[in-house]
Amino acid sequence: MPNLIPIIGLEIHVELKTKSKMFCSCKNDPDHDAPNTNICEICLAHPGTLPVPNKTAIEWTVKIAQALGCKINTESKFDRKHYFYPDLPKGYQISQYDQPVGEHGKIELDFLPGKNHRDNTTIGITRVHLEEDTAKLTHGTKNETLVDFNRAGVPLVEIVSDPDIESGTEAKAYCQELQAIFRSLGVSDADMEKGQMRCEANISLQEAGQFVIEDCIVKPAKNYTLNPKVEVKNINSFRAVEKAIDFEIARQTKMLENGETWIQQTRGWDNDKNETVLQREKETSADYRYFPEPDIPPFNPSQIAGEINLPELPAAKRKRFHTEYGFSYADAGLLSNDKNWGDFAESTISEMYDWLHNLPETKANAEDTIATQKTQLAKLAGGWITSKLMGAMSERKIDIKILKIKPENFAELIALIFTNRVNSTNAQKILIEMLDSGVDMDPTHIMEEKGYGQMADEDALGKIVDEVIKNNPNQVTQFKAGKEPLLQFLKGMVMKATEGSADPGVAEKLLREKLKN
Amino acid sequence: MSWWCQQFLNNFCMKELNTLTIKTARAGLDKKEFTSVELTQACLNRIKERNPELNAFITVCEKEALEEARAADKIITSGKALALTGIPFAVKDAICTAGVRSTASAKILDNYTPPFNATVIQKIREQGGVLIGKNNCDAFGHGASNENSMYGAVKNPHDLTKVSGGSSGGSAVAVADHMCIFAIGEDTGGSIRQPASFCGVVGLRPSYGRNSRFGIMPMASSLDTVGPFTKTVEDMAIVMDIIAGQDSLDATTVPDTVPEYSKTLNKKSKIRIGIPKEYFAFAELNKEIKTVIEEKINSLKKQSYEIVDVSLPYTKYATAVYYIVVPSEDSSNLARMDGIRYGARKQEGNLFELYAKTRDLGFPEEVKRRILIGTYALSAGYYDAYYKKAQQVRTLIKNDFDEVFKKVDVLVTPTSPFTAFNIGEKSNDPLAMYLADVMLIPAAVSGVPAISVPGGKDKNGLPIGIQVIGPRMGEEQVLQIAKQIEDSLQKQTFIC
Repeated sequence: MPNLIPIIGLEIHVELKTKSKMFCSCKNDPDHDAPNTNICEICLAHPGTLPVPNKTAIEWTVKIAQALGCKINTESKFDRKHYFYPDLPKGYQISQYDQPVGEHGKIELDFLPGKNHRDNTTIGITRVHLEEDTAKLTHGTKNETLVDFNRAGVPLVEIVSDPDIESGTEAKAYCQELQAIFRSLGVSDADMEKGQMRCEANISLQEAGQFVIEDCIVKPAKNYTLNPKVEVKNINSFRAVEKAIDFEIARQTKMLENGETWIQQTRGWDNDKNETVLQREKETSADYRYFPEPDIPPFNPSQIAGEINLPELPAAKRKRFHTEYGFSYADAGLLSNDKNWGDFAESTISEMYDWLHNLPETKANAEDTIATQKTQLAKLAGGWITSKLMGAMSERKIDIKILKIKPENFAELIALIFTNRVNSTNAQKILIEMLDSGVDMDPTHIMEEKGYGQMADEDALGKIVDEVIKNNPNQVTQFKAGKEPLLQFLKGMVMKATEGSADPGVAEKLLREKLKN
Repeated sequence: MSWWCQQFLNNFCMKELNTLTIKTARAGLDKKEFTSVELTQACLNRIKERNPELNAFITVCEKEALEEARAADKIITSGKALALTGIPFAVKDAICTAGVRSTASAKILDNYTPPFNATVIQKIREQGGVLIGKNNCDAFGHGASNENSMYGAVKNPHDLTKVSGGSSGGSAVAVADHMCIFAIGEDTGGSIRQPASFCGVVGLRPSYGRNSRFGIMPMASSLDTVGPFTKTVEDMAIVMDIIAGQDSLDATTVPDTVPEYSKTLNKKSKIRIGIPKEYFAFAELNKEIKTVIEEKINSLKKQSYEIVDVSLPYTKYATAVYYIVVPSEDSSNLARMDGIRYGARKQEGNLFELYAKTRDLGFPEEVKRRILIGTYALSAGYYDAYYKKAQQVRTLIKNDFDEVFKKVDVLVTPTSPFTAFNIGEKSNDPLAMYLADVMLIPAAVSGVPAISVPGGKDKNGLPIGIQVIGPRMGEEQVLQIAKQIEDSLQKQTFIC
């Protein structure tokens, strides 16, 4: 069997979180509990009503297109896309056909070694355009269908990728990158579970060397017939993106290996069964009878682009977090995906440097320490943010937006750990107290009050060591007889007696000294 | 007898109140010569007397209108009357009026009552206009004779065997027969000007983008305009002063400042008048009409207006362009009439059957014909050959006007090649019906303003309309020349 290459293109829809809907002044709140509350004669398509485009939605679409490196068109317009369905009040969706806001962009993806069949790749962006969302249908048990128009007319941006994606991992990473971009631009929360970001995948497998991708289209080589593609819908999470695509690649591979073929079709991802299910076979392509929307004059996105200052995008921030602060790629990725976390991490690092300039242990050589141990410091801070803090917050369902701990106090805690004033066990206790207090507490204060500080004083610790030796004669005898591992047991007893606050290094040194005699 | 003598006499002779103009009604109301209730009742009486025959109204708001009139009288007494306080007006039924049934003369909207006002109606209401009723029209504006209404044809008040013209026939008849003081209609390809000409009233199609289309049930979005029917050009200027201007609910309205038409109406500017030869070369052009127009042109010449022969070579393609663009946009605009959210629904079978049966019962034949033509013209593979090509030719027709308006300020032409035709004469021949708008369509596809003003009558006593076309946003000079034509006609009539 020849080598089969998966060819995958994604269509992403993202709801913009503008204040009002796309073509009327109704509140943009598609998930509002009470159905049909954010509606008016315009989004219900009463006769004679007209669409007036939402300026902010257009600006944000231009922003997205810019962030994706698209060529921003100088003339863009809306078009009508026709089909009859109860979720479409006008009988057509206002969308964009041949003059989208932006075209020909790209996203670069990097993978940690071993995570993907290629370590980096560039995914082309075919186009970015603006349209309106449809109403939500609920099919009842008595064969009735209920329509909720709260979502009808919500601004929706469609991003079509080139067929450059080759694996489930890449598709997932592409979606995550888009989410990070939308969030950094502040245009959408892009939560897939809430339907704010939706993904449709077009997947086919072709023999290596038998096709070329030209103008975003897969074209067969001479005497080769392309295998039909499959469109997969109903993908509602990043995990589902990856699983659905991997499933589909495996399914199509098996069919091709068995010499089977199929008709171009749409399949739905079944999250419970972990498989794609046939929805319908496409014999002919639908005719949407596109034509330019006469109710809305054309506009110039390029001119709008000229007035936009893009914020630092996730890819640039990730790179900067790695080079400037020394965060690992993984931490840099996690921290740069969310603006609030990125800001928290940056402030933590700069406050931590301040602490190193002020603490007696590090004061003298602070600059030197920072220069030589940048990576260790970032590793320490990164680990405490991404695993300890994020973990504890997620258990308590605390969002970064409402976190009371300020970077200054958090950085102080990291500095205490770095200078061995507190050990890791007690530092975690301090962190939990800081978190649970519900206010911005000073970690040194907690450490002193609770006696969590590291016991490094040889006199004080020496007395406890003596106690331990006295209370464990058997173990002492065996150690002296050469059973080296028993030292760890004795050290553990010292830690226990000090409730974990003993400096493990000093404890071991004292034990060895006293047991020599 | 001079014209001002006639005016003098008019003021002293007791006239039926419903025959008043906005100007004279306003004066009478403000001088407390009569009340708005009396004025409104006079119109309602006329409707009661004449509507069973003419069929100009689908809905008459008798109770509400009298209530509004009573409220208006209080306002007038308190000295706070606005431009239209207490003045009864009628509205084409394809224009949305809050709380008042608006059917577009199609059964699919038989039970439809809009929860909102069209912007132009809102503006008239804010100036105190009393809504007396909703006018019959060709369903969704599809027609040139008002025979395509699912509520029956409208008859011409000058001869009951003749059509009123369409599509805003009911509104033209309501004004011509004095069932109201003025009316609001809609003109896509001639739907105001043609019935105005057939019924002998003034009808204005404004520039595209001048008046808000919000709340006007659309036919072809890129051509639709909303404008008044009035008894005089002066009234036309008064209503335009109220309804014109940019609207935040219509993205195609323009921000240009609107002149005060009623103040500049009698200004005798230096206006060059173009006579486009193509409009006089149509084989269908009735000789009597031609003679009447030529007389008017001569009279304008005598008033020292410069008359220039001009040419609009692409005129002959306008109707062909129109009947691609209009059905295409129409088929799209009517897609929302699906029986799901409002209007009549035929609940039967599956979703497809619900759509099909609802639309089958709710639309008349002409609407279905246009939906089919439009759907075909927009289909993949045909779009370039039809809709796109039509839009390209449309640009050429627009260029014709742009060029000609470098040389002249307005154009004067007949409104229609013939006077009102017999009911049933063209209803089985869609093509003949489409050609009835041949002189009206070029201005429509070009988005320029055009007015039809009465120019006289033919030997059978049927009105003849004269069309004045201006450049885009050139309503001012259009109204000025229309006023000159109207004045010359009055002089002529009274001297005789």
